[in-house]
Amino acid sequence: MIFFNNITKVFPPHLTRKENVVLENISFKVDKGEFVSVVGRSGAGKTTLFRMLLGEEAPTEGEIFFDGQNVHKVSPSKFYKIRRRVGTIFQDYKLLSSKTVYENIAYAMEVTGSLDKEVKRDVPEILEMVGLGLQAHQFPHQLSGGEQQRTAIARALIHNPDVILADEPTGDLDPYHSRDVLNLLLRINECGTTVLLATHDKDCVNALGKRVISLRDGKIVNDIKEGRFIL
Amino acid sequence: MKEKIITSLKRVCSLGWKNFSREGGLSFVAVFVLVVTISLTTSLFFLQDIAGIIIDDVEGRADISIDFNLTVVEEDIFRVRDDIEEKFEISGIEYLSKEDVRVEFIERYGDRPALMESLEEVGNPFPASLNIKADDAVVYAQVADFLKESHSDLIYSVDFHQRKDIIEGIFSVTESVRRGGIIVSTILGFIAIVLVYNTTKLAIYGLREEIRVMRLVGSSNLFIQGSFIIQGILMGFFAGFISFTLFLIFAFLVPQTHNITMGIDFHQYFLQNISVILLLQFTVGIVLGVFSSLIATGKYLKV
Repeated sequence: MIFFNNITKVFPPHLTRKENVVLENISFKVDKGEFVSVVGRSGAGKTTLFRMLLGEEAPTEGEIFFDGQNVHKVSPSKFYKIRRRVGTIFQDYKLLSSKTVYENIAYAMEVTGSLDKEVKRDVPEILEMVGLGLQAHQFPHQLSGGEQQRTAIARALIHNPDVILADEPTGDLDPYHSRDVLNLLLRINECGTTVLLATHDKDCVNALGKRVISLRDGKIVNDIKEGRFIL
Repeated sequence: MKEKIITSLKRVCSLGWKNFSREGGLSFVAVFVLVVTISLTTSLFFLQDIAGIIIDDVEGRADISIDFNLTVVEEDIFRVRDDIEEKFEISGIEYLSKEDVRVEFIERYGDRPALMESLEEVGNPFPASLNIKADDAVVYAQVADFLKESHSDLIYSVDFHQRKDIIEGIFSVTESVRRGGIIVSTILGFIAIVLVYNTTKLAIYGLREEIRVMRLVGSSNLFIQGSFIIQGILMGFFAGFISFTLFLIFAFLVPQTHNITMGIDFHQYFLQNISVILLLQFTVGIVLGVFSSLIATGKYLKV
């Protein structure tokens, strides 16, 4: 489903006047329905990998394929079609503070052209699924971190995506809410959605018992099925 | 599918309106400069047309009048007339004898006894004359030159150059005003583009979080860009609307506009050209608005 083929990403020299090689010859494949954790220290290149899959960064070398399609050959005006098939979750949730939980999710549908009746039908359903039915009319600042992250997950799921990219989704959460979010991701995966999780949370990864790809200094050092957090 | 397109269009328009109203002060300034630009462009359009009407009128009224020396006999005058008719493409030539001119003078000034008494005393002081009309004003100059060369001994005066000066004067004034107007409206147009551009840029900056979310959830470029284009269209539309209203007020509520435009009925002129003016004002406003928004979104909206 997803194939990173010999990916190298070099950021141009900036203040350090030195080129920054973030990823070097990264190759791995993710099959449909897999749950893959990408682990590594901060700055290991996890987020850059995800950003490249979303078309926000271009690889310096190599190619990324999504469902057989070379992601960076897709014209910018057509890229939204890939983004609709990839749900994204971030550490800082990226919720719109002026909108309620309901409106945040409805907004994701509205800006992608869903009809009002579809919005009215699907949003309450997804809120029930993530356990936020009662918080629908609360604003993000009135929610706990875990609830905010569940709102972000609900938003990522609203288009029924093939893949969920979760970039440090438990980064700002306490262990209780972290487990809560991970359980939700596992449930989503059980329903057939491919999940790519970028994290440096050792306990979470070890609790999952799923495939683990370890990154160090921009290179893959481990790729183990039912792996553990090893760096 | 059709329903989805209409729904998306409604949402893009609603977002565009929000962008426009959120940047209240800046939008107002941009609209104001657009109004000035549009008004100036419309005035240039008027000027071009009105100058054309005036010149046509002056040219229509223009003729060349040849006054002969008092001693010249009718046979010589007819010889000159035949010469002119033969050599030049003229639309009409009229002979006024000394007596015709005297009768005409009496008709015009008969109610002024002092003039009538003087006329009686001096007899008939008026020269016979030929009035020539041509479709092309160039012919007048040719006739004048011909008369100077061939019949200078018979001619007392040729009244042509004064009218030529009037026509050339109108041309010169309208040309200068037109050139000045083009320069000023180009500058204003540029300022309007910069202002709309900056308003769009600020709207993009203010909405950066929403834009990021839109992009992440798979909103199309057209949808994201669309709201800013609508913002530009709204600015142009409001500017066009305000300009049109101003011209409408000018044409309907200010009766003395008749005098301002040198005898041309501005009210009538406005009504006759209302569709062109409407089209011109809204087109200039919307084109400038959309053009600026397109540049701003192209530069700042990384979709």
